[in-house]
Amino acid sequence: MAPASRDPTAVDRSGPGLFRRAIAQAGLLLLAAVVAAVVTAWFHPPPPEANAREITLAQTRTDFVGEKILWVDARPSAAFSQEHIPGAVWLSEEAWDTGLAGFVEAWTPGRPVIVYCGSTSCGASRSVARRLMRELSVTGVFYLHGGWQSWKEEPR
Amino acid sequence: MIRLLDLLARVILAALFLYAGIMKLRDPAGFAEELENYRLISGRVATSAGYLVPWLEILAAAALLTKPLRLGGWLASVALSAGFTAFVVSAWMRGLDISCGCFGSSDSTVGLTAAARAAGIFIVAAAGLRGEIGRQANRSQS
Amino acid sequence: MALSASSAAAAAPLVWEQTDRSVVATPGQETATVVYAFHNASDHPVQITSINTGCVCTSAELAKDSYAPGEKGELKIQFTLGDRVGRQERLIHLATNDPASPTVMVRLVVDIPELAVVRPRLLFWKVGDALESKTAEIVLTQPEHSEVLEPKSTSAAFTAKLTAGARPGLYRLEITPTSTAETVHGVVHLPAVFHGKSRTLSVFVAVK
Repeated sequence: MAPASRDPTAVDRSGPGLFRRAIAQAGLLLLAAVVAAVVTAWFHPPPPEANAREITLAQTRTDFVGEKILWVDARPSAAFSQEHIPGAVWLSEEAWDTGLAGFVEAWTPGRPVIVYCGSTSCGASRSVARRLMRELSVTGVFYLHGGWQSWKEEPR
Repeated sequence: MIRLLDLLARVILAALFLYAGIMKLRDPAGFAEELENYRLISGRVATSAGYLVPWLEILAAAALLTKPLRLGGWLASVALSAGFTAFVVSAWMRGLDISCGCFGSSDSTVGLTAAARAAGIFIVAAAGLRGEIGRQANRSQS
Repeated sequence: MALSASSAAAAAPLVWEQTDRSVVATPGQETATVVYAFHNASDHPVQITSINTGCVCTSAELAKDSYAPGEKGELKIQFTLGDRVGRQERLIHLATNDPASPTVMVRLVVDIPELAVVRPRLLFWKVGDALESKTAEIVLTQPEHSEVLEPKSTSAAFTAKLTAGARPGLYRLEITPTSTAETVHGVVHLPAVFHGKSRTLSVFVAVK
């Protein structure tokens, strides 16, 4: 250990002192990065669909009490025909416009929309959620974590 | 010898971070999407990270190459690479088939290579930080 | 990227000419088919035990499962584009019986150009709203190969008017409800021609 200098105006050159200095400098870098990020976002704002958020089944139970969720099934049509969440509409990028008509009929302003696909590993729910926000300019669109699998496995 | 290694590590790390940061900054929304693929963050958090992380990388790279800010540059590199390692390893363990997003979109996928690379950067950064603190402490002693 | 390719090549018995392919879809293209060529560089036969494309939209075809040392093979991936637009990434996983590289992954990126961007595709009024018109904007991304014709509303509750915008390929579709007294749904169809082929664009309209 270096004998710490007793002069209070001198820079602390002990190990812990230098580490504190590293933290202060890194904090400064973080601050500068935040400023730069805000400026970048100002000039290149994120697209509206960037707000599509993933949600768990448990969250849907607590976040939308008293609201009627509009479930959107983004799985292949065969899977939808076999079984789906009650009241769900089918909307897949396989046949976008066909599904969109059904979605628009069921949708009402302010109604939360939750898109699901097969399981955690499928990406269709997010693509559909993002495309809904992008094309229809609707808000409050989520995609379900774990998809249909988590719905089936939920104890009830 | 140590000096040379230190210089080499700083230049290589700075070049890596600079490249990665610039590639990501070209499409922050795309990078945010790649982050969402990890299924750890989404929505506004991912969008913000999409803008913030590339700048952190660029500034960390700049700090590594600047004498007065070298300590901060090393620490920022440690923090960034620790974060990357955690993301990549967690995705790998969960068996997610996703693209790494490490150097902007459409680069390698998550797996052993990406995990090893992130962990390697972390080790170099941690050693660099330790070395820098040691050197600066010694300098004040002598 | 270079690191992963070289390290995989050193250990893996199946050597691929390319594992990452990128294609741009042409207007009207329905499927994208890409062939990934490989050969067995090891001294023992290798069997491909399963292929997972992760989507019913993507099919994989392999002439046979087992490949002798030095034997060449081709993996054919067909991606049905459906109504997708923009950058689409498909990851295809193969499992082999070789312990040195039990899994192999190939990637297909297809960029599907959006010939007409209609925003927003839904215009709605609340029951009792004033009979004000609302506008959707149409951008033809390849105006020299595209044109839009007169709009038609499926519902008498809405009238539609199309006007050309400030630059080629830019249009405004102005929609006015004739009544907002009760709930009604409709679609405004906009016949269009892209590269000589007809397609109908649509904007959904509703009083909710």
